[in-house]
Amino acid sequence: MHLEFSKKEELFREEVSSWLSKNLKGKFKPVVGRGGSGDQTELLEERVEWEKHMGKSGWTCIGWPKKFGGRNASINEQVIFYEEYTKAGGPGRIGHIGETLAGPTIISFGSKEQQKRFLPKIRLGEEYWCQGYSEPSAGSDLAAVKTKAELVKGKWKINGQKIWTSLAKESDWIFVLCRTTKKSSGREGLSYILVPMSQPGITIQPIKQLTGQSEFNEVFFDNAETQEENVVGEVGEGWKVAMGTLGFERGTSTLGQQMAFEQEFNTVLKIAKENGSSEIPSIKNQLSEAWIGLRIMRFNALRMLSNSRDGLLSKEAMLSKLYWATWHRNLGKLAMDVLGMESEIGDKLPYDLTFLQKMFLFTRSDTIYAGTNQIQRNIISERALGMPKEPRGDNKK
Amino acid sequence: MDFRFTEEQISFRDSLKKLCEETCKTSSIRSLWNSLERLDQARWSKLIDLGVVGSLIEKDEGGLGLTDIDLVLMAEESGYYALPEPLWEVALSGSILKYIPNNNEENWKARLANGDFFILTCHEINKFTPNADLADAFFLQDGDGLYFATKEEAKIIERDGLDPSQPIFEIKWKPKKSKRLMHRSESVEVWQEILNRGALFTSAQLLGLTQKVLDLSVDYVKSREQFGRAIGSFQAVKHLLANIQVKLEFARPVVYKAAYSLASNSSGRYRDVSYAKIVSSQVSKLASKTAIQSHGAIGYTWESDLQIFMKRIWFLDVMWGSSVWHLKRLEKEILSPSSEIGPGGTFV
Ligand SMILES: Cc1cc2nc3c(=O)[nH]c(=O)nc-3n(C[C@H](O)[C@H](O)[C@H](O)COP(=O)(O)OP(=O)(O)OC[C@H]3O[C@@H](n4cnc5c(N)ncnc54)[C@H](O)[C@@H]3O)c2cc1C
Repeated sequence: MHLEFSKKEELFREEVSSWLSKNLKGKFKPVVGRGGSGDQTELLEERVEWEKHMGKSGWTCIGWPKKFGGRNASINEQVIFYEEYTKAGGPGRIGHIGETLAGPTIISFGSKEQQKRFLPKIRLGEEYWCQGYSEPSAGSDLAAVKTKAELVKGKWKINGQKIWTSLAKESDWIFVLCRTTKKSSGREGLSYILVPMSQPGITIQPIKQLTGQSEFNEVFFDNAETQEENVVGEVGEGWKVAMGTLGFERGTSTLGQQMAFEQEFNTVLKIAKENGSSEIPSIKNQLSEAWIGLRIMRFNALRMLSNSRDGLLSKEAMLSKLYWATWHRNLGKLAMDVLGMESEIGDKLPYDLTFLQKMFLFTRSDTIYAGTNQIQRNIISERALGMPKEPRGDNKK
Repeated sequence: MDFRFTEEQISFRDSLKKLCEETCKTSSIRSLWNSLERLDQARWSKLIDLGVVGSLIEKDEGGLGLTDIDLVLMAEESGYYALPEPLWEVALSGSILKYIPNNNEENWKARLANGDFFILTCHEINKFTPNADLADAFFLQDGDGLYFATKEEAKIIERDGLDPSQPIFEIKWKPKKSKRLMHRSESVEVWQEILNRGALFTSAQLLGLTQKVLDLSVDYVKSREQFGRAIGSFQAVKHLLANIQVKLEFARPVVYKAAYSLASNSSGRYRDVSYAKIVSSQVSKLASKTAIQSHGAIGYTWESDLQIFMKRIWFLDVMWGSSVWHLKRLEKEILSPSSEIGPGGTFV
């Protein structure tokens, strides 16, 4: 065990913070502190500009290996980066699905050609990605996906529907989990295919959320096309690749998220001190517990990442989603309790909610996306603890 | 001792239920969000015909002379349908007419009882007044005096609100001596009674809202299938929802008891109302969290009717004293050296 940062790491911190303070200003001023929970679809153009600027300067995808344009940053360095980024008010990263999901998946499972074709554009903020997993009848039961792809003259023809696809409107590419073996079912016969969004075969229908905004969408595939070579991993091995992506979703990307959580907590704490609610015993308790929770998440993430090798996560990783989702949902409610009656007053008419209201509503969904709390508990009990599986399938009576 | 409601009270509730079932569908609630109409006129006139708005006004002042016990089930039912009109706020204003001296220039007392003059009561504890644009006049608080102002005499400013069914307003006005209906000394208790009654009606609505989000969830988990079976067959989901029903049944008698204490002007009414508001808030918030969880992503959409009821729960949670406020009031009473614990004391 060794928990201090080294001299070299402290120098890295200075480098990061000085770059941020020199660059996150002027025309980028408006994006400072924006694009977080519930605010993901705001100031898109400006945030794309910022993403490109970061990319050009080598500050995106820092954890990627050098040969793919990353900095091969160690876990400590990534922690430092996220800390400084959050401290400086760096905006919610519009490229996060590419950087933390699509990119690492292509690095681990993709071909050389795919790596050459896709990684630089992710890194430079030139192409954006969305995740095409869920379908109307395949939510928690992801292996029930029905969208199918058929190879016709060197191209995949894709038909079906995805739903809840975050940032689909803003994306250039989607990674689609779909059926490539006819009459297959469950985890067999699936493939992981990269599909360009801008084409006549794809229709995007935004879905309005509790907040009144639309961050997620329905995506319809009607003979949508993509080149044969855009399958990641082997044809028919899509489940394995898809699970790899989910592993990344629960891995290093949580570090950045935790810094954002800390920032949100600080906002809530500041208001509580200002409006006097921090004197109320029940609020005091909740604030202190939230603070403890932040540390618990932090140390667990660091321990978990120290133990992980080659993107393969240790057992502890299975526990983290349940913890942070529940913690964040509680923070959303705590923010409302701290505001008291103010919590019902929005920003401006018609229905433009405040940052904290949006965060409150958005956090209602934390315990649902990326595996619901119930599914997380099933995973923990069945896979980590080895308990018998719950009965599934034909048992409707 | 008898906790049952009379047949009359139940049939009064049933008539409101029937009315809401027919006229207060969620499509009708939604249509008001986008319309310039602020009120469903047809529904509102039927509500007036039921007599609720003047129900707490004494008979000799033209009302029905009912009590909180007669109304608590109806308030609960209106919650079940997330009735958007300010039925209870207007009824509440009627309940204090008996304290107000008759100077009655414009005869508004009689008109209030008839339901063609709306008065909303603005208690300091509420930072804003929902539906103020519908009011003809307000009872307002300054110091502890009780004032009257017509809508022309007050300035109302709309603010954006989290619950799209409850437009909220700030009210700006200048107290005029000539418009003071009650002095500080007489009005202190009246303002407390207003707060208690506001909190009671709110608690009752929260019970109904809780039942509603629970019913919606139970229906949903019976029909939604994952892993080849109804998600309601998974114990994790079952238990989430069963817990709500247990907590809800336990909250009901507490709210009914608070109605009784208010109607009988019992000395325990303050703590009974506070307790009622706390437990109904608790169960309703837990219910909305659980409801969205059992719906999955659909519960997070604008299209799902769940939002109508959840947003009302969050709204009513802060009205007429938050749980924090009521807990403080309750604690004062329980922890005071003179408080009696045990049968004959806290139990009754
Ligand atoms: C804000 C948001 C963004 C999203 N973004 C994306 C995206 O970009 N791409 C994408 O592909 N998907 C996305 N999703 C979808 C998300 O992955 C699904 O919502 C999630 O997997 C749950 O599926 P579902 O909504 O169909 O709920 P269901 O699976 O229908 O679940 C409903 C309820 O049943 C419970 N349940 C289901 N099965 C079991 C079981 N076996 N045991 C116990 N309980 C069970 C669940 O826990 C839940 O409480 C997003 C969702 C949200 C809310």
